[in-house]
Amino acid sequence: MIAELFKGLAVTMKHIVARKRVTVEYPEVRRKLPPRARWRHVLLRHEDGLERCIGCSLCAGACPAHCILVIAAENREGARYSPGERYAQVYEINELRCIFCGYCQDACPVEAIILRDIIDFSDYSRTAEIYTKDMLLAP
Amino acid sequence: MRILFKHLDVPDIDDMDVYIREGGYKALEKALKEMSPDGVIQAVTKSGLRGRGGAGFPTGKKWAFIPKDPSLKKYLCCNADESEPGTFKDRELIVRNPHQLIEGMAICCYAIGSERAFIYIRGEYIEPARKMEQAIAKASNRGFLGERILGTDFNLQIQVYRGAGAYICGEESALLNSLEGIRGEPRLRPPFPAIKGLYESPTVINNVETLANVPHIVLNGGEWFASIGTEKSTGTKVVSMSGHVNNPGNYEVDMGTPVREIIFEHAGGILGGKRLKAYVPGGSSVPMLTEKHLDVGLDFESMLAAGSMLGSAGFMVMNEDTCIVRATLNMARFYAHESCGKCTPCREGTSWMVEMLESIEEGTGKMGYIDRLVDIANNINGRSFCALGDASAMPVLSSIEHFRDEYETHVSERGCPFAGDRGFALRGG
Amino acid sequence: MADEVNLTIDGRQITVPKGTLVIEAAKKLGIEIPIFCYHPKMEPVGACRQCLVEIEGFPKPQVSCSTRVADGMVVRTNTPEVKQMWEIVLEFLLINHPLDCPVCDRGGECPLQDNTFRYGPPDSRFEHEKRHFEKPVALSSLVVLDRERCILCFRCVRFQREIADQPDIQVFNRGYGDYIGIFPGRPFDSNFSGNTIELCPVGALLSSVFRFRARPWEMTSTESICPNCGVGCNIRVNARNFRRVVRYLSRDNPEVDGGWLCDRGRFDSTFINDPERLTKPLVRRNGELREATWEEALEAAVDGMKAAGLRAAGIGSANRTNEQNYLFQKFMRLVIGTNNIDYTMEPMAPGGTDALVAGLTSGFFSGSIRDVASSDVIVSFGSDISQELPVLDLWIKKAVRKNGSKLIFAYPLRAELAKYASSFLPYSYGKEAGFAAGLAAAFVGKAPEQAGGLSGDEIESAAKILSEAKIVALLVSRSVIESAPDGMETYRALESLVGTLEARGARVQVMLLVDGANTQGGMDVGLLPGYYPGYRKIDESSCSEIAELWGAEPPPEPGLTGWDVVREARNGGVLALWVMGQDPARDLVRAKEIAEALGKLDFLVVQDYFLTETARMANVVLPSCTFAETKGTFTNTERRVQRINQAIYPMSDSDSDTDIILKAAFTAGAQFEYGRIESIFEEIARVVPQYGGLTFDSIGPFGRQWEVRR
Repeated sequence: MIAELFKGLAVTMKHIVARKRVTVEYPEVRRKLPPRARWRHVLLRHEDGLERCIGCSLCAGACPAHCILVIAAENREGARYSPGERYAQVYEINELRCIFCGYCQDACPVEAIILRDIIDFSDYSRTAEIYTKDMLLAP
Repeated sequence: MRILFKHLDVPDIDDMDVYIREGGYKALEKALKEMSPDGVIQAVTKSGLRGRGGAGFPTGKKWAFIPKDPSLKKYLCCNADESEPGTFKDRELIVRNPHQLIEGMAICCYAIGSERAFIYIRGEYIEPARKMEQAIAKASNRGFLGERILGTDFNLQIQVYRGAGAYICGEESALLNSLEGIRGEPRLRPPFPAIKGLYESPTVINNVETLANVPHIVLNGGEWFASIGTEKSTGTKVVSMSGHVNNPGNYEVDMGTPVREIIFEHAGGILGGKRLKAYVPGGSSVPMLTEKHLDVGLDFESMLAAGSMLGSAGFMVMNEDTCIVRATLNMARFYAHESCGKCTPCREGTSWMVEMLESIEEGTGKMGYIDRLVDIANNINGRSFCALGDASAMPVLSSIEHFRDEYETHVSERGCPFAGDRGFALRGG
Repeated sequence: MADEVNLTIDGRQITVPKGTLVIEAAKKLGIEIPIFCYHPKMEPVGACRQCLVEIEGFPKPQVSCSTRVADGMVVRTNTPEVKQMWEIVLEFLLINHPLDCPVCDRGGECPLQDNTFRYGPPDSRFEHEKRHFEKPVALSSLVVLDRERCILCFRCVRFQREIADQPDIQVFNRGYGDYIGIFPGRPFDSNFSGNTIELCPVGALLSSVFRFRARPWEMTSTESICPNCGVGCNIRVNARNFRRVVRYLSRDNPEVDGGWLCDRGRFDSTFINDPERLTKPLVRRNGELREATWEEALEAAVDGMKAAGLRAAGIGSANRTNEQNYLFQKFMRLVIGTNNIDYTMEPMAPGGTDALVAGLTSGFFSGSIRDVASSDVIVSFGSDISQELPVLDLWIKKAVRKNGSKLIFAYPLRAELAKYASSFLPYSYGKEAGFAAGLAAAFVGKAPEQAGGLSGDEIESAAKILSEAKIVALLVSRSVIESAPDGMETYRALESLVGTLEARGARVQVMLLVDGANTQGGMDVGLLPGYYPGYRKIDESSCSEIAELWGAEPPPEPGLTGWDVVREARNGGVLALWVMGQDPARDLVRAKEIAEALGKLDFLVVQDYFLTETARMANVVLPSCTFAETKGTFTNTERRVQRINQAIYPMSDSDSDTDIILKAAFTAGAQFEYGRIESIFEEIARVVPQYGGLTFDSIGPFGRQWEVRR
């Protein structure tokens, strides 16, 4: 009976002593995310610097959480933001509402929006979590 | 037998005095003084005369459709648009003997009760239009046109109207639109022109050759005319020969004459003693035929049985050096250019066929294009608004049917095996 | 049974009237056939070939949109061949279509998309370069054209030619190069150009006002009424997020608008979300208008009005609802204690209003818009209908061009409709009565030498046309009765004209033309100084009648008209004025005089959306809501009571006019209690006999005309 007791304790001890630690000292240490991790959205640009987004609102239409707002406008002579006629004048995502399903990425006909592995975007106020176009656009 | 070209050897037959000396305007006199309008229609019906513009509709029947109500204004439009590629018979009929046409028109107007007739003449026919106008002026001075013709109660004014160069305006309802000054597009039928045609009034539209036959029918009787040609295709037909023949030109032959005789006897055989590869018997709108079909008779029924149509009898003869793909492309380009754009299959389909034919001819085509061409052509054929769509499909369908191997060679060898500038179909290519 | 035809479609029998199109017969059976060029209101063309079907006995497939039914016809739409034809036509249409649906305004409500999803090919076999055009092309300041998307169904061209009769847009070039365009140097400036945008089955014709403003799935659609003129066209208000109105679409009411809208109405949606809208109440302090709370503003307004005592007045509005106008006049009568109420500040002829009321209550004005379509002679008197009531202009054009009706157009200027008139009578301004009397006299064979500035011959030619008429639609503008020198005289002359016509056996329908969206309703519910609601002439008995209905006694003496107020304001007869939803200091012909008079007032309250000229002069400005933010009813020129619904939330701190009046009444200590807008309407139905029996529900989506019995 004693033997059984030690046997059991041995298992416990083994886990205490020998097992690798899983806790990561975030943010000093960052865990490597899986390659398909879907976190904060990024709006991409073309190689020539123009925005990929054409302001079509399909992402907003696909979004099950209704967290995307797009207000489109027309590209004008001297104020061109994207190829073609239309661009997103306002592009906002409420990241608090987002469920990171990736449907927006799926719906996008021009591959303008993707969900990247950016995870550190918590904040103290709700309004700060409404990401505007400036914040979302890739540099 | 020569009916329309009877006077061709008479010098200056285009002069009215000469025409009268040769018996001209006798038929008009006979019709006006001895026959009733119905009598004229009966004679024409008995003659079995069928429209020479291409469709072959019985002329007497067409005239009989016109309502007899005297309070209605009626019109005759002579279709001299002659825009069918390979056809140039009407020009010759007008230039050589304009009074024959005027006489025919006058008799027709008498029969249908019209006091106003128009000749819608192809815009490029500047000389024929001028000639026609001069002839009309002369005939009016002599009292064959105008008020109280030949002392009877019959009045008639004929006006020459020059088209603006659209193929579609040879289609009767588009012709009416063009005459009225609106966009040259075919009209919805019903109502048919015989009920609501020009300016919403009953209208007869006949080809130049059809009307030119009328004086002879009136003079000699319908039975006489019916005795010429075959049983269902009576009379003669003016054939326009072009392409690789030794003697291109217009020939008048009896209906039913074998094609071999027309090509090898009348037109003097194939240019350069080469072999015949293909011929189109009725202007570009009908399917092409090959060497195998040389013994077909030139009449409506035989041509139909052989898989083609008599059309306007504009023969285009191609010898063995001709690239069929290129010839077809040339015709397809014509139809894409001339489509009026009203209906979808014709507007989009014709240009699509051109794109594919161009690719095949240039050597960038794919094997699948050949079947796709057939599919597209079959989908234009019978689904378009007017016959232009059907016509555009014919060259493509028939050339692929008879010369599929040549298309395949184009694709597999990535280019045209007939290098250089040979073949008649190279214009615009 | 010669007028009925039996046919079979897909094995199902149906009997339809002779002359029906195959596609209409199929629709009755619930069989869907895809279409592009076909439109039930226009002549068939058979151009797009989308609706091909098989008909037994025909060697080729036939287009169902232009083939008429025949007895014993057997039609098939469900065979594989037909499906294949539908597919190939869509493939043809798509080879040159850019497929830029994501950026196209039409994407999501596009017939080409819908048909392609349902009947189209899964893939295109077209491997060549698509057709290119320069785009977008502005056809006018309102309409933008994208030629690459155009599928050439010619609906726009046909609408302009057949319905508007302003053929400004046309097909150019030919075949593959076909495109829609305008003539050089002549912009597309039809009154009805916006309809072509709605007719377009693809995103080729676009509204420059709506372009890129919203995607179809982001919008809500609210049934409403266009607030722009007296026709009262039915519209759908499209809004985004219940905050922003992005466009109006037509809503087919066959009795009123026939499915069309004019450009003035259709494109006038931007004012609702204009950044200039008033958002806070303003009160004048030390000579300047400053923002204030609602409580402060209402208190100031009520105090200011009450200080004037009997020398106060109120002006209602022709574009506010019946409920708002009713409450306004009730408030003015009961709380402020004056009958100085009117719906306009225009000068009015003596007896003008009495003549109008006489006509309306006696049943003289009992005509309807649809009478125009069924009459053989239309007489239009005193209105430039094409400008004032544009959609009515379409009814007249259709009657003249399609039915062969004759138009007698009496108007001092050669307006657009003059060209359709069999008789155009440009009488002189101010001689309306003489003209009408002359016409009546000419009709009984006593043509005067000269009448209303017209020669006897002109009058007689019109009388001749009238004498041959069996059914006459007489359209009389309000202005010829109200603003002409003597309203009663014009009215009497018209009465005698109609009387003689009817004595001859003609049926005459007289319709009063009013310009504002709710001028008619305003008068109905009591915006008249001499009448209580329901055209009760102010006297002792009507006063006690109203007192019983309201539970409080209204002032017993008739009040001043709007123009009287202007005159009295100048010499101190009126000290305070409350204006609801009008800008008389700018909009009216006599604006300058009115502004001057308003400047002399002690106190002015203005209730409006914008800081208008009038509002700038006010002591208190109360921000109110537009029609899109409220619920209620409008009554149009044919006395049709129609419902408007709330499409968006009120802007910022503005409030609906009903709520403003209720709050003002509360501030003044009055007992106005209404739970909902419906309860106000219920009271109107009780107080105004013409509205008796009407409820919001019984009005329905297409409105109800109030009846006048002759």
